[in-house]
Amino acid sequence: MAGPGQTVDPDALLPRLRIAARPFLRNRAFVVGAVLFGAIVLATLATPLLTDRGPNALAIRDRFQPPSLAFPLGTDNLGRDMLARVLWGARLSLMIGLSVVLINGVFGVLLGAIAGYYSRLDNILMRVADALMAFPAVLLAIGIAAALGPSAMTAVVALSVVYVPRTARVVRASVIVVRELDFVQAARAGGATDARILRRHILPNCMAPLIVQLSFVFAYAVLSEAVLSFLGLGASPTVPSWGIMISEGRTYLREAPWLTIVPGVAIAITALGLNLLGDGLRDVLDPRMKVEQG
Amino acid sequence: MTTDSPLLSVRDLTVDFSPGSGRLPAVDGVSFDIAPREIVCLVGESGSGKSVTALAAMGLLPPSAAVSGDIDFAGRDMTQLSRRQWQKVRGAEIGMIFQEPMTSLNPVFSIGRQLVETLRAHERISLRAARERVVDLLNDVGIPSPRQRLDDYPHQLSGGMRQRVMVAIALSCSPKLLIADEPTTALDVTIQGQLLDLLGALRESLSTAILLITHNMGVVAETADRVVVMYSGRVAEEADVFTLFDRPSHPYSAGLLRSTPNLAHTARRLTTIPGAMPNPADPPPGCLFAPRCAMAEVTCDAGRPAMRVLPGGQRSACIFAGRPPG
Repeated sequence: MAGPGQTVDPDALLPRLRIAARPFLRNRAFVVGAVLFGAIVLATLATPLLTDRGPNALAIRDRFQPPSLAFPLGTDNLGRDMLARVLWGARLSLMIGLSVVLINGVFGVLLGAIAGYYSRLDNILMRVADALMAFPAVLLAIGIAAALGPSAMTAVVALSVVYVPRTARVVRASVIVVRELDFVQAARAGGATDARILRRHILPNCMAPLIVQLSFVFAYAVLSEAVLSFLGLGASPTVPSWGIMISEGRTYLREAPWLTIVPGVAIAITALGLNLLGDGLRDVLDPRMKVEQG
Repeated sequence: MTTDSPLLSVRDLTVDFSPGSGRLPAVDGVSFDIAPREIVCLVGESGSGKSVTALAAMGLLPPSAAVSGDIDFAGRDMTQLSRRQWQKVRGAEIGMIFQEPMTSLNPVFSIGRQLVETLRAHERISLRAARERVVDLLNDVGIPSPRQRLDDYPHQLSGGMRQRVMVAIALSCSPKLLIADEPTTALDVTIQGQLLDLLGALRESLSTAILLITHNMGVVAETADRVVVMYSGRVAEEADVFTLFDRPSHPYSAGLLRSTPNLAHTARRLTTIPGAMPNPADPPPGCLFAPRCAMAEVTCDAGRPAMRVLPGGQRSACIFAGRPPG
């Protein structure tokens, strides 16, 4: 709102953005993580430009081609182009990771907020969360996926069950801290309802740890999805998935090592990128949690 | 002023955080009235139950607190209100400002947004109209160029400015009563004075009664119409401000006044009240102040002294009240 006599700076937004971006750009982990993860996302979006072969196009005569100009990442035992497969696999991994993050964002926040704000429900919700967290993450995911039958949807459900309690914990911890701050009491004194206090005053002040947590959930979800599909519990074998590619390539490890190396490196880049991104976000958004760097 | 029917009437208010434990309640049998447009100061040292009394009047005590007694506000029995009814009263009919202006505003929203929010929580009003009202409010509480300040975030304002914003929020729906819990404690002296002047001026212009909680006798002298002195959860003395400063009838109030520097008199060493407040788990048998009182006699230990009404409306919980001092 520009009042009379106020000089409006047309470039006001840009310097503001620059100031806001500075701590992020100064954080090495964040920059490296953003570049790695950004490269994967870009490659996924630009798949049709990078390769014109389908991920399942067979070319039996060209099987086991090592990386060359014609096949930048080689071909597999059925002559399928590894570049096309790894790119389409990225699409699947990111979709599953994103779905798990979204489900975590909704249910983790909801349950964490309720547990943190209403101390009466806290015990019940957190004991259930404890029970779920008592199982090793991957083992629980394998169990759920095995019970539901293999599919991409199953992987999403299994990974959500595994990670929602962890996200809820993080949200609950911040809600308990923010709930006691003066401005919450002030809002209450202003006649705000519980729902309003939670939505407008508490949750916006819990965003930093939540964003950090979700970036880690993304990384773990991508990794765990690869584990599940490696074990045959994830996406169906007709869909190129990094885990399935490693699982199939394992047989030819000696003759054609690129069949396992290519999807393995893809998983490593994605997980490393997301983890660095998360570390960087944590250092910038939540300075109290900062791990001293030597 | 006592001829008006009181706006807020607290009768025999008792708040106990650990009922049945034998410990002293945080607030024990407190009664006082606030008339419309009156400024009443609640004074006492830390732990005397001032803030708990205020929170009880606001319905903001945690559910673990056992509250008994009557709180009557504008003819309604507030102890019977449901959560929902309380939410309608808070902010609209009773406003409150807190001690810490630095942390009483939500850091992630602009002050304009926080003001608009309170306003729109209680009144059906368009966003545009609300913003106009908010500009007027910020102007009323003495914030320069309020229209430009609207989109500022709390960290961009000084402590005094933030407390003014808190006052603006508390007054946004023209409440009949404003509860101010040590509003000047965190501010430096010049800003303290400005804020007290502001509260006094707002009382005149908005006809708002104010319950001001403080432990600063200087603040009391400057603003109060009437003073309620609390000690260890009980009312020690209640009097209008001139009577209290001229003829305190309770040795605790007298001690408070003697321990306050006074520029009018020649320099003297400030007197302190010896000892500390009674241990709530092991209260003295009679008057709670007796162990620290220079006037105490054997009779002081025979039961809690009843409230005595003295001429001029002064009330005192000292068995010597009304007798010539000595």
